[in-house]
Amino acid sequence: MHLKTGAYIPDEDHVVRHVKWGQLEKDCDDNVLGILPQAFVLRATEESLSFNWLEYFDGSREDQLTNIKSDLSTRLNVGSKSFFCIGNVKNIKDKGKEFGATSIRIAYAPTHGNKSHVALFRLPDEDLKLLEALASDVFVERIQAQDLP
Amino acid sequence: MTNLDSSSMQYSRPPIIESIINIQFEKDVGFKEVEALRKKFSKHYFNEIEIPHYNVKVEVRENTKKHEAKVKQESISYRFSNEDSNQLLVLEPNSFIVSQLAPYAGWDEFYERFRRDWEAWRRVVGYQKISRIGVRYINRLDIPLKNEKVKHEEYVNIYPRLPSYFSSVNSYQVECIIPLDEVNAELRLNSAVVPSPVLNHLSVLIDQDIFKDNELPQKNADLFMYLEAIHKEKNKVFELCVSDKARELFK
Amino acid sequence: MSVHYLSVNQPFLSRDSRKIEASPYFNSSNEPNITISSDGFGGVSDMNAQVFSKALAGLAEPLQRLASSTPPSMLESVRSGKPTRLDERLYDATATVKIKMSNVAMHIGTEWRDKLFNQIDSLHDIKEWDEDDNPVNKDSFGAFIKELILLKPDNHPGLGLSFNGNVIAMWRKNNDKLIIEFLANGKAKWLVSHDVGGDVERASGISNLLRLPECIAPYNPERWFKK
Repeated sequence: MHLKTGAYIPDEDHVVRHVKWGQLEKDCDDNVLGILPQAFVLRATEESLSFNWLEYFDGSREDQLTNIKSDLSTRLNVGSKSFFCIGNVKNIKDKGKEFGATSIRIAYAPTHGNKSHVALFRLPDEDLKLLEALASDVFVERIQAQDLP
Repeated sequence: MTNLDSSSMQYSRPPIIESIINIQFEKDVGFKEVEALRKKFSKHYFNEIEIPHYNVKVEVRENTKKHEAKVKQESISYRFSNEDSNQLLVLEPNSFIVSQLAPYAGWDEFYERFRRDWEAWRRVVGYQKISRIGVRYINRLDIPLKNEKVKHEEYVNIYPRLPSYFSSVNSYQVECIIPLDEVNAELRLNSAVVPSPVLNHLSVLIDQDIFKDNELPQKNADLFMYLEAIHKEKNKVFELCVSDKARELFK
Repeated sequence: MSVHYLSVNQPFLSRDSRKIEASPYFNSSNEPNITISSDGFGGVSDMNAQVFSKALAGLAEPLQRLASSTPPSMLESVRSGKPTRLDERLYDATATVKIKMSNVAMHIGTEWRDKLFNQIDSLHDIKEWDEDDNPVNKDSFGAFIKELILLKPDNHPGLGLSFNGNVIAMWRKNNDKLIIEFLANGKAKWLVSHDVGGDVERASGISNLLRLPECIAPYNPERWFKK
């Protein structure tokens, strides 16, 4: 499926967040337990949170994630210990509403070399409880970069 | 009673935050030798940082209002460190500095490294007249606060003496230079209150710098013997500066 | 003998902390710092008067000459120019936090120190880094170490990093989590997540380091800290 730039991603679709090693929840022996809420905090230079649209690509889950990894690798370092975390669009918005964030927008925002890029707007990223709920309850499907081709 | 021959005194958590042996020379070591030293010490240490020293001259001509700046690299120093960044070696054109940060595993280990590096240095540079020998130990006593107060006199024996009119002291810093006849050297002793890196504690620094700049041992064997003597003396000084109550903190 | 108290809740330490911070090594500015009170040091009156006057005579010049060089640990940030390469930036940040940790080594056991070093090395693994990532912020790390020495947990935390280099400490017991982000301004942002039969209760806040144990006390932090 293809959308116009700025169009909202359908509720039934999924977005993928690339979470670096530093923003993963770990035990003291570096065993990965999950994602930290801080993985959903905007960087100082960002106006929206970056994701990738999973259904932009056809094929199996692994094919879709491999394409996303390949696109991201052209502009940033995808470390082998980082994770790709998948969340359903409706679940993200519902979780936001649960915490009073009723105006979250998830829009298609392709960039050069990253055709499946999605921007998430109006996430109150100072609300650690909401971010933790997203990390624990919504982005539950995760795959480590080194497990993708 | 305090055992002043504290060479036998071993603390499980010594309050030493840095120990330094510094040998200074009458003349600078040349660029070529410094480069050879760099190669030599790269094998012993995990990391090295180059520290260039520049000489900047600015000439201002009043009549033309033009100015000219000349920058010349005069010398170069290297700072080597181990992977844990707590064993350091600094090679300057006119000095050789070995430093150990906490945790301090004892004189034997520190001195052994000094000897290893010093002997390697001498093998490359050859004889270079020593103009100053310094051994410095920086100790920090982290004293737990009770009701946000500490009676520092109960822990240390070096502090400013004040009229009784003043009931409390926010901070202090004292320094004195004392002759040490035992090793024919001078001791520069500093004590000060410093911001504590530990919550709910007050930290007092005891910094002793034992140095000698005349009638210096020049041969390795004499130098090593002299450093051993300084080591004993610095232990004695430290024990004199602290109380039993302080010793309880790092036993 | 009169007893003088040292008090840390006075404004001096915070108002003038820069001055005090510069003092540990006294000679870093190459200016000898001589402080002799009117009555001298404790016991100075017993000193041989000649020795004392000799020490005072022309103090400045000889002290300049005799002053030790800056301790090597103080040269931590010396590099010819700002580090620009990623590997240099990561090395400098790692070395800085290790030196910071060394400063409190007497309060941290060897085993824990080694573990922390491994965790820092792992966080700064260059294979996982991008040019615009921020390595560990030394002030945040300082706050983390202070808090850990205060809390003295038997169970060591997992470590993470925020995008701006803040250290994040985390503990988990079953599905219950405690996550603390140490801010560079000496405060801590904390989050507790507690699973009550499938319902997750969450609480969060920002506290200063001393207050943090009290703030998380209602959530039974012993389950994360104690073996």
